[in-house]
Amino acid sequence: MNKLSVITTAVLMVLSAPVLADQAEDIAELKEQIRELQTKMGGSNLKFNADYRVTMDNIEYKMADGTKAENNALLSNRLEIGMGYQPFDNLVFHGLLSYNKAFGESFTETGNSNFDWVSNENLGDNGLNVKEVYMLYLGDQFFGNEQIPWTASLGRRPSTNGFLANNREGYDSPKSPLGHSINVEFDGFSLSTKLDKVTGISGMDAKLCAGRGLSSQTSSRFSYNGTDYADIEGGIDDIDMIGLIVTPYNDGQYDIKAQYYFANNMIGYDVNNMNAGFQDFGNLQNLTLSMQVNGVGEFINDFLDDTVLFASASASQTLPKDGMAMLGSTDKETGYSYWIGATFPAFFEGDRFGLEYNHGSKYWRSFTYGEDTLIGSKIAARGNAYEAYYNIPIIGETLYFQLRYTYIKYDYTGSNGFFGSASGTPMAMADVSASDYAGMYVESAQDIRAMIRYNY
Amino acid sequence: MKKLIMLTLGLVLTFNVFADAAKGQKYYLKYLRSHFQINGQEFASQHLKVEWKRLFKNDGQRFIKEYSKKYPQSAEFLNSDTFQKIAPDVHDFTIKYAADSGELASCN
Repeated sequence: MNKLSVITTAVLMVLSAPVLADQAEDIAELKEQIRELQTKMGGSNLKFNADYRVTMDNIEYKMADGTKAENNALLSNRLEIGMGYQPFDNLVFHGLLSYNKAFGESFTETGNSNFDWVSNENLGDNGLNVKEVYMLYLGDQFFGNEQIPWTASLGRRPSTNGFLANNREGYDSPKSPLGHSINVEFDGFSLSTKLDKVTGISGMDAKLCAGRGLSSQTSSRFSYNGTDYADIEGGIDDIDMIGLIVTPYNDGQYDIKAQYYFANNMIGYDVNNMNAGFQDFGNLQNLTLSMQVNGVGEFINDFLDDTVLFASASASQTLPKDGMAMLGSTDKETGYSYWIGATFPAFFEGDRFGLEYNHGSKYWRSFTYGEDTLIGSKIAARGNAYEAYYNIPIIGETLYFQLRYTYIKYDYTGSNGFFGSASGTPMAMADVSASDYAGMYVESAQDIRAMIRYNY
Repeated sequence: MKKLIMLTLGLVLTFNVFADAAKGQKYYLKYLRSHFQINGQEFASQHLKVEWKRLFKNDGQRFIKEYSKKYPQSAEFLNSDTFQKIAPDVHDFTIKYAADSGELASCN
């Protein structure tokens, strides 16, 4: 009987083997089909995300003559609609539409608030504008070298809230440039290479960025003599910028980045000839070194594991055109800035405190006009800026609340100005206070912000 | 007073134990990338969310088995205590960037 059972089982196994193999193949095929379907549903179709926030800012400026300018409760809301599409493994499209407006009012004026570098960072009207749009190509081998993956992108750059500037905003990932020296919208291209495999240095990469910050003045469409879009003789020239961002080391815990850029034909007003409008004052170069430590030590305790420390140093240098008083000086002038900060966990799941401080010297000039601070870029300060914030998630990671305090004390005027002699010249605050023009200059500014943000 | 300070410090030090995708990304870079030789997004997109959940069940036993076989040089680390410490965060990271997460590579 036992022999019969063994033989029967063996015969059944032999006979059923091809059937089982077929079934396994079918299951594998079905799994693959489900995988393709789920991937397609998740990633290979145009996907949207929404970042909507409402803020209340209590703003106070103290002028050099002791008077004050205030807004007790400026209510505003900002919507950013992100979109992405990856039709092929190596090609990605990204877009970001933005709306940023005060409650009950469309600000349609004024001055330079709608300048192309900051068109989505300042309060405007009901319109939805393009903040970012670019195509990204992902390459496996750079000039045939499989050890060097690379990417290239072209379009309106993700150039706001870069490295370190993302911390206060509560974003895990920074965007492209170093936030200490560039935080504006910008059109251009980039070419990035991953160098960690070829060098053996963790996280090493290099990225070349270039673009046009301003197109030269041209005649208009349908101009009377038919020379549409031709350069206007004597008009301001193109502003072009080229930069290199290098990550010499990033092991996830220690992240170091360096950035150099050169920009030409920087514009500004001549204090002695304001009617001439924007003029070309010269070129500007900058070198920045930033570092972030994600976690102190290794598994000492959860508090230290989750603490982030960062520090950055930056130097800007003017290269004025002959006879042009760039930042008020016809000489080459160097400014410097340093910035330190920390974020650390607080009391509940996911909430964090942050503290930041930065200092800028007399001739410091950053490209941070797009920084998300209503009283003007704190990083641009020729003086001292202090900031404290508390971020707490309310519902998952989707809805969170922020309370933030920013205080800027200026040592010199002209922190957020352009590059000419009118708004860019640094005058010592002590001298300004004693002058008849004291009421025209801000000596210190503070912003207390409460924000609630939905991000999904 | 001293007790109160110690208690407050203790609360601060213990109330923050939760898995975190950003930490998982950091740990991937620090501990796993050198073994797998692919970037974090490539790694996370190797599986669907449901597959990652299954792989990381029971202290990540299936993950350890599958990836030790796929990347033999990582076997020693995957079977270490350190991996057990980082596994919940790495799991969160894989879910955030899984093949069906809809997250796309960007120019950051």
